[in-house]
Amino acid sequence: MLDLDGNCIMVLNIINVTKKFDNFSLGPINTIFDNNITVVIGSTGSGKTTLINLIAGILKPDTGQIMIDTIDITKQAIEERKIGYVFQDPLLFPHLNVYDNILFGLRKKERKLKEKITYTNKIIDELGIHHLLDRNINNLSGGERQKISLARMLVLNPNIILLDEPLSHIDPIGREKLRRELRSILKKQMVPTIYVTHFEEDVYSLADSIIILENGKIEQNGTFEDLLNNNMRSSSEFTEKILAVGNYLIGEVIYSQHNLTKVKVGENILHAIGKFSCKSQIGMIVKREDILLSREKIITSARNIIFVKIIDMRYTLNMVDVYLRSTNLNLVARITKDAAEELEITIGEHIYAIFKASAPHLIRQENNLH
Amino acid sequence: MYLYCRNKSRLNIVKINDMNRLRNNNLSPSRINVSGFNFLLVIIVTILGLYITYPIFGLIYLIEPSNLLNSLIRIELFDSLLLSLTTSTISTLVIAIFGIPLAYVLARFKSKIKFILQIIVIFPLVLPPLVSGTLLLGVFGPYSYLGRLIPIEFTQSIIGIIIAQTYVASPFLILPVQAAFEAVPEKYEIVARTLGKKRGYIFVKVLIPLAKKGIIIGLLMSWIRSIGELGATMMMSYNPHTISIQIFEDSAIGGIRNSVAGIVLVILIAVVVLTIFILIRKQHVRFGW
Repeated sequence: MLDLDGNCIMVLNIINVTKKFDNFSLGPINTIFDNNITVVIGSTGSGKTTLINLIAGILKPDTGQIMIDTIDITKQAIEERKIGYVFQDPLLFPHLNVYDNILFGLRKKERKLKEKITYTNKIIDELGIHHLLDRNINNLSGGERQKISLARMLVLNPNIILLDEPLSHIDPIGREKLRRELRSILKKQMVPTIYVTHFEEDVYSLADSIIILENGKIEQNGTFEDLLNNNMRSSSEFTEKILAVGNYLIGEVIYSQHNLTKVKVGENILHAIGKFSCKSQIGMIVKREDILLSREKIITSARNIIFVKIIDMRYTLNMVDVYLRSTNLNLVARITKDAAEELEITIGEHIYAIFKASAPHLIRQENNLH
Repeated sequence: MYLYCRNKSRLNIVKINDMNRLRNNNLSPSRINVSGFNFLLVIIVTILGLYITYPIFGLIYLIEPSNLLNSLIRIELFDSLLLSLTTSTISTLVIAIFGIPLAYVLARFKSKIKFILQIIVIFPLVLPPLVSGTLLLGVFGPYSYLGRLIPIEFTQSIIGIIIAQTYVASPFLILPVQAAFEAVPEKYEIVARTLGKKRGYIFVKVLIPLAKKGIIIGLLMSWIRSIGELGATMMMSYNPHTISIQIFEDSAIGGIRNSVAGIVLVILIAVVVLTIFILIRKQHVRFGW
């Protein structure tokens, strides 16, 4: 299949797939994965690992088909599917050193091919693991091990990449570091990538689109913006948890110095803390609780003051979620019911939304990906 | 030894009592029980240790240096040792060729047939070797169906020795290798398959290296068991003599002192095997998970 720019793209098509166990059943699942990163998130036992194990061929579906482009792979053995799978545990072979682990999947002849050597070196450079090649795998940190496991899979040019909670066995600092690098590494492969997790941070940092699984069924499917703007609010606890941040903004860095970054989102220029390279695209999260509403343009230390229109108000027990719109920018602010009454705000009015430069949490950066 | 233990157990009591006080627990262990238990352990270990090593040291009283040298250079003894070393090596190789894949089947497959297979594998271990030998003679003897069908002398030959050794020593290889395969997480095989490798390749390049320690132990155990084999070999092939049969015959003809030379040789082999065991135990094979 070709995309709009005429590039060849792989499509993974899941058609009516079901799988039954004694106390759990998955599906029927119907979905298409194109060459983007899809983050599958759900609580333990929601069937997310089962789903990717079905795609990998580790499990056989009871019904349905799994297709890569026009080829039906449902009955193919694991080793015939050309699938890259990174497990929770890096599962590096303990009897081989780092370099031999990376080359494990290549055939003897391939190991001598010039193009393969160049490609392997490219992957090694991208992951920054050159200094580890001669090491024994026992002397590596969790993050380093997972990188080797990624390299071992990437050198084979898989048609589909599956990742099953790859960051969960890594210490928090290493996890944050690898999470930042992971998106650009995976994006470069240009193949359908399915990333299973239970960390909400992974959704914000990695996802092009999101699938929320609950009790073996797809609860939500779409981009983060789709989910945020979806009026059919779900009763599911997990969906609520992921959407709880309220605001996910994508913009371009126009200035970044001395730990202060200015980001252009729509027509607005937002201030944030952090250092990023100019002209790169970044994603930011602003918690809905961090946004203040004011009738007048007050003089304040907060750096971000945006003139917005109230487009919707949704009431919960004691709180109100106020949906706001400026040019090419949607925001949601959560205030108390009392505050809403005192401000006497109504739908259709204009108001100021205010938040500090420290409120946006910058989560991902992409440099000229396309 | 006793004093040391008493001191140590007293230390333990203090620690346990402190912990109990902290936890406000009424179940404090009695002083007599703890020290008594340690004392009992020391006695049991000492008795067993002495029981096993005493006969080996007792050998010193049986050795007469002048006779020993003459006995050691006896041609029958040399021949029988050589025969034992060769046949047990061949037997171990035969067991390995069939036993290692069988151990893999036992380690990985989950079905009712596996249970039956497991019992079959253990069977030669629980059967008295003399009985095993008699059963083998029943099927391989000159008047048996196989014996008449195939024009090979199964009994009173090297082949007979190998058949007996293979039968009796097979569990000594299969069981440790099975345990070693079971200790390798199945996920390694799955990850190797996602990397495009076929199962045969994974067996040779991943499973065998990861289960290496258990395989070496299994090979050694079945080899040393084959050397020590007497009962089944006697039934199948009394001649030519293996070292065990030679020792048996020497002692039957001339008493214990007459068989000392053979015993010394076998003990030397045992020492070599033991040394390898210790070396393997020292070299920790660390897995990367």
